[in-house]
Amino acid sequence: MYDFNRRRVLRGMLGGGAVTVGLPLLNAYLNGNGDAMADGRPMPVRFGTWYWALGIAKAAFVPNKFGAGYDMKPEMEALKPVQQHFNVLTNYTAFRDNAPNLCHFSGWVISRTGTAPMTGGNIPGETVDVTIANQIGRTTRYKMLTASADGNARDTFSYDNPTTPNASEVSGLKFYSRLFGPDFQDPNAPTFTPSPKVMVRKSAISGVLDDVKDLEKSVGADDKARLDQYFTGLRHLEKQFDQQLTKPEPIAACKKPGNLKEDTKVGSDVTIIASRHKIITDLMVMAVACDQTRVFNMSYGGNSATKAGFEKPSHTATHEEPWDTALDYQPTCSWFTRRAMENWAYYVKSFAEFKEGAGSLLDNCFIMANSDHGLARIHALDGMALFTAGRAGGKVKSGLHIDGGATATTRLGYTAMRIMGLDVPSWGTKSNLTSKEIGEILA
Amino acid sequence: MSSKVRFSSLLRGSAIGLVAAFALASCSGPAGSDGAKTAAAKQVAAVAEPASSGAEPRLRLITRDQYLNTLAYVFGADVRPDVEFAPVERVDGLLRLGTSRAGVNDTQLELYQKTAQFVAAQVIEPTRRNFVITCKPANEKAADAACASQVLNRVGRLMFRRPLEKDKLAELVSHANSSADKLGDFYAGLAVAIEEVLMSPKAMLIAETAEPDPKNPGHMRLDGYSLASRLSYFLWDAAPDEALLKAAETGEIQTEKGRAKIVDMMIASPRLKDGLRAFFDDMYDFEKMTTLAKDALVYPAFTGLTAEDAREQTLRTVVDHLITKKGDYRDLYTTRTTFLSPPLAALYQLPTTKGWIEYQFPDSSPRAGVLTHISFLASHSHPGRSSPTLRGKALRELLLCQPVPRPPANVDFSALENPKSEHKTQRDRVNFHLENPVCAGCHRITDPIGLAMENFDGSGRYRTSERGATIDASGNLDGKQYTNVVGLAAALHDHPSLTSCLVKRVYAYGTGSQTTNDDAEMLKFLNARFEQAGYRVPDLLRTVALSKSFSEFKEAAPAAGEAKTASAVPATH
Amino acid sequence: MKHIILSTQVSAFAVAASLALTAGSASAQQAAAQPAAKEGALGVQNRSIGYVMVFENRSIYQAKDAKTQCPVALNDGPPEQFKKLYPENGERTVEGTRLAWEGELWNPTKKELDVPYYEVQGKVGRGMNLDGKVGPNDYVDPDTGEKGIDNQIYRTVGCTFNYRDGQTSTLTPQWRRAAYNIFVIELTDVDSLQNDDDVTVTTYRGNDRLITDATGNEYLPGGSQTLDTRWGKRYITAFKGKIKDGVLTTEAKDLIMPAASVYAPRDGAPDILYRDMRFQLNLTDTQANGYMGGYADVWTWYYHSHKTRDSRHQAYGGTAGPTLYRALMKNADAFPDANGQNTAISTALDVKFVHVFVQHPGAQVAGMVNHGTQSAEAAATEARTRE
Repeated sequence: MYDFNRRRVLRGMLGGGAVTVGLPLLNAYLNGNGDAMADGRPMPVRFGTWYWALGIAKAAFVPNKFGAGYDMKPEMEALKPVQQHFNVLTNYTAFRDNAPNLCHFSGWVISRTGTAPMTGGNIPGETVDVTIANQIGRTTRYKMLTASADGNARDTFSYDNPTTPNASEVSGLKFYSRLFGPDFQDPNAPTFTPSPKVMVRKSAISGVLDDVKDLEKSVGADDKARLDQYFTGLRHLEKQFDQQLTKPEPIAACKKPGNLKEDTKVGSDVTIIASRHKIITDLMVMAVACDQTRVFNMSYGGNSATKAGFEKPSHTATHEEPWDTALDYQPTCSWFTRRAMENWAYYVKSFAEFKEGAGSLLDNCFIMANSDHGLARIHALDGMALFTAGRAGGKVKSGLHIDGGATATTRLGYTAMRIMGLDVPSWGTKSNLTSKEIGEILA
Repeated sequence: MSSKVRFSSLLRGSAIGLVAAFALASCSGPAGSDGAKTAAAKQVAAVAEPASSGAEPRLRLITRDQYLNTLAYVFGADVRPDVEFAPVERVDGLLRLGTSRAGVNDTQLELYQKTAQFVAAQVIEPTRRNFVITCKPANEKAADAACASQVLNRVGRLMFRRPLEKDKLAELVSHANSSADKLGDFYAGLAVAIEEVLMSPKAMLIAETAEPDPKNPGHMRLDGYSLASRLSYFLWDAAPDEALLKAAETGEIQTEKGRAKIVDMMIASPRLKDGLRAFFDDMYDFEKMTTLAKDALVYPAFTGLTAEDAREQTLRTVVDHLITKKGDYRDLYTTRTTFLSPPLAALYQLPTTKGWIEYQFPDSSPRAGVLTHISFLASHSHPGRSSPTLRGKALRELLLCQPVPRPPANVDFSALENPKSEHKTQRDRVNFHLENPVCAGCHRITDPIGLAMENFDGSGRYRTSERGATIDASGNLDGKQYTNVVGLAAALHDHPSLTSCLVKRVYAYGTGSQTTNDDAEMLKFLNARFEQAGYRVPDLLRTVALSKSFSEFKEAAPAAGEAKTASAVPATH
Repeated sequence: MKHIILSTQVSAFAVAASLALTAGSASAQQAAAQPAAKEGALGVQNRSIGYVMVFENRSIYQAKDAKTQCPVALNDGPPEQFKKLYPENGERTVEGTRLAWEGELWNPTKKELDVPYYEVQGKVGRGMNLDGKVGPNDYVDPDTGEKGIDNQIYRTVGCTFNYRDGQTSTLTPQWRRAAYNIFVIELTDVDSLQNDDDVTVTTYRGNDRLITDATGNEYLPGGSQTLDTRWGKRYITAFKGKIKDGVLTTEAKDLIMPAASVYAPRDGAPDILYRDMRFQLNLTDTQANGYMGGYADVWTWYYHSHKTRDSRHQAYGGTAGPTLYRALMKNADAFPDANGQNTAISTALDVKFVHVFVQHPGAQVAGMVNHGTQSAEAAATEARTRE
């Protein structure tokens, strides 16, 4: 059932069209241009998300020009070196209709789930990355990877359902151990011996599946759903074991990184957040390159970032720092946003500089980035900024500044799903319901 | 749960909370003088447990500490994997209640699998295998059904919290055997079966099942094993031990006398400490302490070690006061006795010696009770500054069960900022809240309380002035005036919601259900008994554990078209 | 001297607090054997104050331009010396080269070695004037202009990279903070940290780790140190001293300081012996910084340096034992032996201390509740067993 025999896959077992192929990448399978598999099908496109807190300051962020070659305002300065690799989309709105404006919550929940939450702590559905991962993440070691530079596992924007967050990996050492620790199978290893231990472990899962079925007999409907989730997770574990028992195809770009000497540091100072972001990003990039996952979530966080010597953390500053009428924004708040953008630049650069095939890893990725507000000071849900990075295997253009015309942020999630091969007619609810892709970025 | 919810001016709750808070503020609590009379009257009136709908069976996700406590009992105290489970929703002030809703996704299952692997490897490790594997296989390199059966029967029973069914045991043994054959090693084969047990939902999810109550037709009750589990997770934060499982097996646990004997044994056990620590760790929202960091320039003395030890300080104080000294719960907020470690002493700037010591602040000291512990003061502050609003809110929500409403989204701070004036103290800064009618409604509930704690900076260190201005720590708590935090502590001590909030939390925690309006009479009863017992927490735990509503419930009439279910999610309120 | 009583910080609380708490609290509590101290009461308490050393390095002055001090070169280390002593075209046996050299290191002879050794040139150097005189070998302090500085160790190693920016120099402060090497001084009979003509300074080895701040790089006042009066008796020495305008100076006495290797503490060379050591420290409530100066016993100083860092590590910074030893013996300037050879060499240490609460073993910890047991340690042990 889970025997993804290479021959069968190449015969189109999974159907044709834009559905991505569930195979690890093999350079020998690339065509002469390095941008397609040997049989003409496109290389697998990966999907990523990135998050930063507390939005932007219009006067300091939004470029005056639209389209290509736009001007860089101070908050985006750090992104200049990677300008060609991403799109910046400004003037989008997260509509809440009759739902309350739940500060630092509604904005991102709408953007990632399509629906406005009615109460704090209530995620009204699965987030877009989970939807995509359910489609394309079934054949890799990990269905998805979720990490955060914030230092807090609760800093996640990925939910399977309202009560099941995908907790963020926050420790560099633990992340490394998970990705490249003793269970890592180097695809480029010269020899491969399927481990008998894994074989017996896999066969033992059947007993656990039986336990789930047994428990389901005596619980109510809601709990049945939770047990179904457990069951599905076990199935995926079985698949992971299958993966470990299959000789992986070599991946030229995959190199196991050296172990970290010490763990990521604790602390809220922006420099410490940046150091965590860097370490975790580096691991994430290699994990994607080694095809351990095709869906990856990263959060810079930054809601409670601190600046040495400045007594307020970032969020407090958004509410308490005076507005500089000459600049038309709050200077220190803008300082925090610039630090966030530096980390976004690092993220984009890391994928852009990683060679894959004839191009870069970023060429075969589609990453969307969003925040929780437009102007954080007043918890604005309009004037929100979004990013995309990567060319999705050629489906997407980059280097553009696009005006959203006050339309819904959900258009980005919807566009992402379409790009990733999900044939959905629309996404979102009420005023966030959209069937309009952001056509300007499509190639 | 996103921490964003927490940080955005950190207020949540519904409008109901606001009304309730106002009601409380306008009604002054009973004075101490006729307290004795009312107490006696209460005694007579509420000695019998009222009829109640009881607390239904739940399906709860195991927490990390419960998992570790159980591993320690089953496999030995040194089997302690370094693992973090995914965060759980906080429902009505308790993470414990969120476990009844939490799902398990791929990431978590992966984690459970890896942890199970780690534990199993430790169990069969040559230097310690004799601890759990008390039999010897005929041939170490081959399967041995008898020995495998013996081990797996015990491990399965303790991890699943009930005896293994025959065919389940047979299946486990057959996996152990076939694995041993494939791997050429009895112990390695056994390890695979142990992993299977540890990964099972029967281990990682705590399922409560019900049976008809023979003593009360038309009613249901938890079956013996579910009752044993509910008791042991309540009092010991761990799976039931052999004694409890035996009491369930023989039916002793379902008799009044038998159950009382069990509960008394559990309360007298040193394992009660684990249970009490888990409860207060939850109620005090100490999960915050794991990510608590301060601005290193402003508070150089506050390090990661400080945060860890601050949590430990409060938990030790709680255990010492409530269990060891059998103290009055209210005195937890006024006692000058606590515990000190070298990192904490460096923050207090007090002399100490190695390790933890029991410490008593002098009567002249401003340190009185939990409000003046580093844990409370530091976790409800900003990284570089104290916060009267956060501290006041914490007192309301964590200690008095009074939710404070969220701030309005369109709150305009432009009037607050006057770049020309330099507010010296927090009192000056937050005064604006109280002058502006839009803000005052809620801030009146929080700020006057938090301002009493301003003699402690954002790291919890004592100070008498801020930026050269002497700190004025006076205020009032629902009508009771005070001039400093010691006065606030005394006012808190006498506040009726202090004890009733604990009762509500303990009851919800123990039964695993949010309290609803239906529980009003039950809570009244528990409050009366708590008062009778001199506010001694072990007695409260006992009362809850022995109450009918802890183990019995009236099945809800099925909604039209819906099948009767044993563990429905409660109506949220 | 008049006793100075520190103003109480919390007197305002006393009345209100005691009224609030008389009912109900005393019954459940065991009284502390000794009443607790006030929070934040740093500085002199009950005429005593403790400090723990957080930084130590040899006072080796480095000019901006190293050439003014070492015009020819910095000193060769073992590999360079080896090449010069045992050239490739010569006869080389293990016994005649490596063993011979190591032999010379551990059991020095008076044999002449045909390798150069460079000493610091010039008159500028830091340290203390130990003999009270201004002699021909003495240095002048570059900042204060003080004359008569006695620092022959500086002369001897000042052109050896290890003692400038090399590892020996950079590691020394770290080693000072290692568990074995905690060095505490307790000042007693102190009436004022500004001026007091009669105080006692007693040295000890401390038993507790230093508390760092949140960055991990700085050390905070207000920590505690329990004194090692059991295994560390030889580190205990009492100095008579005086404080003038905030500067402490003491008499000169022999002092053994703990200085174990962090890598191999049991390597058998945990001590350095200083003859006629004295202190010169600027004192505040929270810090004490300045110099310790005296005459290092040449043999223990030299032996210690090679027991704690082997030839390979010495090679990282140009320290070659045999030539170093000869230079030390040449430059030694005190405590002649029967043959008139000086056995000790003038030196100074740059030192920094932070305030610490000193705990004498057997004494009560102020504020600690010990349920009737005798000493702080016993009570702490008893508390641990009750856990």
